[in-house]
Amino acid sequence: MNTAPAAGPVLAVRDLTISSGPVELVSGVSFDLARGERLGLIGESGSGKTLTALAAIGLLPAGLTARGQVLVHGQDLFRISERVRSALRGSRVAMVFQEPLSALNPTMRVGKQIAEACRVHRPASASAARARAIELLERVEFPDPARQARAYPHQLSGGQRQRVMLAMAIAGDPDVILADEPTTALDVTVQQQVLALLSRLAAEEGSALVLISHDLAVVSGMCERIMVLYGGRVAESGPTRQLLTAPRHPYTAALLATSAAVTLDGGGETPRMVLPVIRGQVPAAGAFPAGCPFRNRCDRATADCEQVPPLAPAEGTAHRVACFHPVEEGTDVRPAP
Amino acid sequence: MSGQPPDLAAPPLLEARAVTKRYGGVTALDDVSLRVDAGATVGIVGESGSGKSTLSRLLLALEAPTAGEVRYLGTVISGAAAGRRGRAVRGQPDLRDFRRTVQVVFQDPVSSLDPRMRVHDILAEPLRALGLGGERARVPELLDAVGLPVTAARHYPHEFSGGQRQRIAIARALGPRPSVLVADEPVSALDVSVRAQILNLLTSLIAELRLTLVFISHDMAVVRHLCDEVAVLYRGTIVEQGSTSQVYGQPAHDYTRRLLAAVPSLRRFED
Amino acid sequence: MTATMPGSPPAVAIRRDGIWPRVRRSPSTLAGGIIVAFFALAALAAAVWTPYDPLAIAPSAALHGPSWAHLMGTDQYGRDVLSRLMAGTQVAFYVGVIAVAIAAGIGVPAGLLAATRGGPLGEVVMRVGDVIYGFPALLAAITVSAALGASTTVSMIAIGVAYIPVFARVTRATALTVLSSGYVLAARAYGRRPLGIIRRHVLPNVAPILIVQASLLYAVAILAEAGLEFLGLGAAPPAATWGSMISGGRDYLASDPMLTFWPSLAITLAVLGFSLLGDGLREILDPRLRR
Repeated sequence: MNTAPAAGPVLAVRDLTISSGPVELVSGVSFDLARGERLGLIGESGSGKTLTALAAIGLLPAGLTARGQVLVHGQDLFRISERVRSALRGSRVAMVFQEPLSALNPTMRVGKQIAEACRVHRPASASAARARAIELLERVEFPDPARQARAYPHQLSGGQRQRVMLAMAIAGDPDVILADEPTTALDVTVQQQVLALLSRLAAEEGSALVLISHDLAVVSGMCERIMVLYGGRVAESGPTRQLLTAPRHPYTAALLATSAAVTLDGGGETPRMVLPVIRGQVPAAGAFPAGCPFRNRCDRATADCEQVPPLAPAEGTAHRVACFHPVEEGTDVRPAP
Repeated sequence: MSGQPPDLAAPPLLEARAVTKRYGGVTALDDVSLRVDAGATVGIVGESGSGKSTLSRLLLALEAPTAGEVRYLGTVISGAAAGRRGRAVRGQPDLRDFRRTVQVVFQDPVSSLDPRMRVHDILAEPLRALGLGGERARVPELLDAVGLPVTAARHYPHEFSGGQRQRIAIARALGPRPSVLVADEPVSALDVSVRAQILNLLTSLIAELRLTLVFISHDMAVVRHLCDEVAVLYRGTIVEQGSTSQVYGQPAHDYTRRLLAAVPSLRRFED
Repeated sequence: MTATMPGSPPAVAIRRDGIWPRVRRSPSTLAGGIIVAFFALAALAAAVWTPYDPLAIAPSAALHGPSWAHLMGTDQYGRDVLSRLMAGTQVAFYVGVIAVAIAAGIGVPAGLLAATRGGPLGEVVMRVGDVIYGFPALLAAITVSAALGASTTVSMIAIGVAYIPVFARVTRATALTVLSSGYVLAARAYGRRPLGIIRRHVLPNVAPILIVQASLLYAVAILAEAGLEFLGLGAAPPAATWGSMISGGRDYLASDPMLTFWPSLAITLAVLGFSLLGDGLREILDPRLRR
């Protein structure tokens, strides 16, 4: 991985707050993404993970207001014109969506769609773009790229469509690839292939990767740093290893306990054992409690938690927690193997 | 709960015998046989195109097999399956008893509940359809059994979250006091934390009500958690079946091995 | 780390939502509803009482302007305009009822038949509908009136028939969606018979859309009837209908424009009211399903 400190982070999000009218959907999210780094964004519904990703590429839906800064290649996406933003999309920041069927034009052959993506950033003749498209299809492991370029999206399988999306994403040689639940809609065997491909492509391109998922297992295998979102705020962020072996935020710990209990290896050997759960459920947007959004589901909450806990480093490490009563350092929450 | 070995002399509760299902030129299931004994927890795993949903519909007699038969307590019920749009087939055995004892929970809590009916009516419907009375008393009982407040009965499905709607769907299935619960991907559409709650709910219901469970899913880990037996479906055929510990521990078929290897696992930082 | 017993009631937040808040938030429904209600009241009132007999001629009082005796003045035969307007309201509601009854009474069962039976029978039903749909409604009404003799009832039957395909098509499409939904599959699984499914699931889900269509058809019917009346193909004079009032006032446009103004306003408002109501209802009833 190419880390060039002089170049600074390829993506810097500072105090991002996204609101729909009076309701804050994302509050005060900040993070930096270094060149070639892989960040996993973990969250359930209402966590704000998708909105954060959309903000990072400047594609927030109309009707939402956003504050803060999103710095790509030194430019704040919120302060530049749409024309400049479009130029950055694809060439600096690219996105892979969850459901490729809706992200692809059903009436256009896939080869042509990839060629379109190429020509946006590198003006070229139609035939040159077509050649590049076939080249990209080969890179995303299509066995017969010249022929398969002529297929329509509905003629391809889910995994193939997602690979077409990957081809379109790398067409502009982006610095950052945002992948929003790229494999959630796919079969598990296909998921494995697509994730491996994503990993390889990011490495080859030297791109940083933001992998958004609800699945801790997926993210643990692919990313060296994880950020956990809950209720629109960052609950915890840190190196994967630390976060997964010794989580400090009660929500992370609970999520980890649940994921580790229902698993193929280790986990609970007893069938149908009682799983650890987080009481209550994720509130609807706008219904999160003031202060720490997790406090109405947390056994450790006290009156202190009515204030928003700041995201602070834990003992000078890169691991940061937003909690007034973090889980004790060194507690291993995984069920015994 | 199902520590007792099945009584193989008695007919299985539910059984598919060499069922084949074709839709036009496409073969969704080919010569599939599956046996569900009383008190068992059987998982059916497969990816898309494996035919697992087709199998669940055949087991529920919502569709008729192209070949083979489905039996309930030894009696053939597959011929009595209604047509695709609910047209009854004349001169076939009455499915009323079957419909009462075998209930289903579907994957999508949004589409499986009629948006125009209040929860009370949604829960009472099976009772009314099967000619069982006592809905006034039963509906609050059911809501309580799935951990919802009794006041939920007055509201409409869209007022609840996904996990709550799935509880409603489970409550509906429990109304007629079934012996068999067929669950078709009931937790796949839910958040991880909600999933655990629903799985716990299913676990406790299976124990309390002595339910037989047929659990269809693509999620191998969840099947391992819930089921003692498992059948692996691939492109319309069962490639492997047996006890969960056997199939997961020593997979015999190549596909099973591939499937197990593909499931992402939480990295263990053991060093 | 937090843990809880399985099955214990989780903190349930039920999102509240009723019909009335939605009605209040929808300007179309409110406006339309108020207008329709206003006319409905006028029609009811007219059934019992009008200031004067709408048909009574009083030549000596012809073409008087508005006065305390005649709030909207009199027409060329001395008939009180307000009374005739009110009587016309009755006719307006009557024509809507006929048209909707015919269109829905035949269209909805036809649509249900096409949706449940499918196959060749369903196709035949829809194609017959297409043929009817292709024929311009107003032209049909005029032809029928010419053939069978002008009367309001006959021409409204013609309008109703012309709208059967709309109701059939809408019913069929919605029924198909409902029949392939998850909750109908669940209902079949717990033993609901086909008739029960139609009664308990299909119809309640089709009803709101039909209400919208009925409201819009009402608007069409009122306008169509007025047009027919204007052409002299509706109720025989001296019946008090809005259309014939406009027709009658034509000769006096220069001297007494109010004679045509009031019935025109009534028609405009009535059509507007039903259209707004239909649109508003469509807004209210749809998002509910989308959630």
